[in-house]
This record gives sequence, C-alpha cells and structure tokens, in this order.
Amino acid sequence: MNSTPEPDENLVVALRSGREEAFVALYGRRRGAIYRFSLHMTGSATLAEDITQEVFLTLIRDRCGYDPQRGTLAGYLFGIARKLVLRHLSRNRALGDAETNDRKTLANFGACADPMVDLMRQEGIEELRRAVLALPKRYREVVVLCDLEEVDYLEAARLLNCPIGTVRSRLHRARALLLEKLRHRIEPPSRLKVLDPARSLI
Amino acid sequence: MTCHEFWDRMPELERDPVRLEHEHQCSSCAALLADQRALAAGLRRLARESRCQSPPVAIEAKLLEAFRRQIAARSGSLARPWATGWRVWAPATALAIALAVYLVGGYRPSATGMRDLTTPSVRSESANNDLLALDSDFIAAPYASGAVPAEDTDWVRLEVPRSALIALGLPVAVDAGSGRVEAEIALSANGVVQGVRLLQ
Repeated sequence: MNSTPEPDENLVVALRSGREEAFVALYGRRRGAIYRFSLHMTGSATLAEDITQEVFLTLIRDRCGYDPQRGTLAGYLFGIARKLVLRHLSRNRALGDAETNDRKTLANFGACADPMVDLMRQEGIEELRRAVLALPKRYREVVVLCDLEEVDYLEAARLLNCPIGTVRSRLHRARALLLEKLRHRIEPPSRLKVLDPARSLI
Repeated sequence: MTCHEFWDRMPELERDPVRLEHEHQCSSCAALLADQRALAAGLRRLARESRCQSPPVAIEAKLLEAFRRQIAARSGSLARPWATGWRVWAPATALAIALAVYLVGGYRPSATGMRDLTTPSVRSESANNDLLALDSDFIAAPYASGAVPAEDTDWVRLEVPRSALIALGLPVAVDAGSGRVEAEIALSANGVVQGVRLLQ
C-alpha cells in the first residue's frame, strides 16, 4: 500500500492547530538537513545541535513567520539556520579558527602523487570536509547547500537573498578553491603562506 | 573551440561529444576537468556519508516538551487543568484555598492594598456589590509573613468562573454576567502561595 507523504505546508497547518504528530513528522523530515547544514558550516556538533533546536523552536512559536506563498518550508528553515550560523561565525570568529586548523592539517599531510584520487578514500573525504569548513563562509554556504544538501539553485538564491547567477558563480569559485586547497596538500608548508586562496578572497 | 569557450559552456557540454574533442586536444583542460569530476564525486560521497548524521534524540524530546507547553498555554490555563501540569492547577487550588480562608476569617480587603488575614477589618467600599470593589486588592495567605517582597514574587494570572466566586461567598453581583474573572496568585521563590489578587 502506497501512501503519499503529507506536504510540508499541510503539516505546518496541522502543527499550528496543535497536532503533535504533525510536528513530529516535520521534525523527522527536516532535522537531518538542518543539523548537517549547521554542522558543515560551523564544524561543531554542539553548535549544530543548538542551532537545530532553535530553528524548530522558531517553527513552534505562535509568531513563526513562515508563509507558503513566499517559499518552501525547507528554505524557510535553512534561512533561520543560516542566520544563526552567521551570527555565531561573526561572534566567535570560528572561520578563522577553521582556517588555522586547516593550514595545520595541510602542512602535516603527507605527499601524495594524485590528491584527487585520494578523494575516493576515507582520509580524502575527511580532508575534503575540512577543506569545505575552511572556505570563506559565502562560498562554504553554497557548497553545503547545493552540493551537500542538494538544494536547487533557485531555492539557494532565494534563501541567500541573491540572484541565481551569483549562486552559480560562487559555486564555481568555491569548487576552484576546494581544488586549490586539496592540491596544496602536496606542496611544502612554506609555500602555503604564499598560496592562500581563502585568505586572498577575504 | 578555445579553452575559454570550453569552460564557458561547460554545463551544456557535459554530455556533448564536442567536449571530448577539446579534451583530447587540450591536456590542461582535460586535467582540470578530471580534477573537477573527482571533486564532484568526492562531494557526492561526503554528502552520502553525512546523510546518517542527525541531532540526538534528546533534542526532539526538548522540542516536544516545548510544543506541548506552547499548546497548553494557547488553549487556556483552566481549559484542561489535568493536562497542563502542576503549574496551572496548583495555583488554581491555592486560589480556592485562599478565598475559602478569606471567607472563614470574615475578612474584607481594604483599599490600601495588601494586608494580613489575621487582622480582619471591614472596608466601607465593600458594600458595593460588584467586583470593582475588590479591584487591585491583595489578599495575603494566613501563613504569609505580611508584605510580599516584589523581587522574589512570581505572579501567575488565572481566570476563575464568576459563579465560583459567588459559590465561595464573595460579593459578586449575580447579574454581572456569567463570564470569568481574572485573578493573580503571588508565588514566593520557593513556590509557596503568598496571596491572591482579584482583577476586574
């Protein structure tokens, strides 16, 4: 027996009328994406948990500003999570910390004939995760949204409040930066100071 | 096709045989393209591996608790006292007790506000047969130590049926309507009821 999942918008209406099962269904459906977005953006599980909790508390509140006419619920929730993440990043300068850690990791990384081949190995994936975390936040968020969470460009443009062309160009630039970062792994540490794409973009 | 044209039209060329031609001709574009494909595959794998990550169950429990509190607050504090927990029914019970004590003591509050029930007095304005006569008066609980320190007091606002006040013997006009009357319960820092104040 096939049952079509209830659309988010219907669940929000049910949630507002006090149906607990609607909240449980919405939370179950959206928690992972919000948590992972926060985790990839901040690099901290504790922060990601706090942000996820705050996002869904906002949804519960009576004065929750979600309007189905203005976009999807997923976009709305990502938007709140993004605001909280950016607030945290600007307050704690987590980006700077991540970049410092990344440089240390890169400097310690052993020589590899083809770093791209390494992406297929577990260490390569961990390295990629760190490289994403070390991207400047405007590039990081498009990679996390579009590449990791598979949000389409239009939705990403809406929640980043920028034209779709900007999303495309940022994504292109972000991927180029990731490639540069991953390639730098085989270069001597002394050259890292000269070739620092993330720093040059700030 | 130049390298610039190749990269400019990259998305459209993904499945185009023209791409293959340029790839064969230009080794640097071919290398860069291979890197990009490896990166895309790496990102897909990272996304796939991250799929299992989700917040701990405790977060859901906290959110559900918050949701229930929200619904309880919205549906009115006396509408479902059995479902809204001690925070609602305990002050309500305390209100009833305080009112009963007030009646047994034969005490009427004065216009000056807060006072102890152990020193009863009759207020001249209390002859008015409506709730206005009790407005802004605070009735201290008999065990409370006189004045309640404002900074340590939590005020809980409740709605009491007018009929309940009449049943308790308060001077409420029968023809004043059948609605509810607002009252405030003063709770000390340790949760003990300090008194009650009837509002209009």
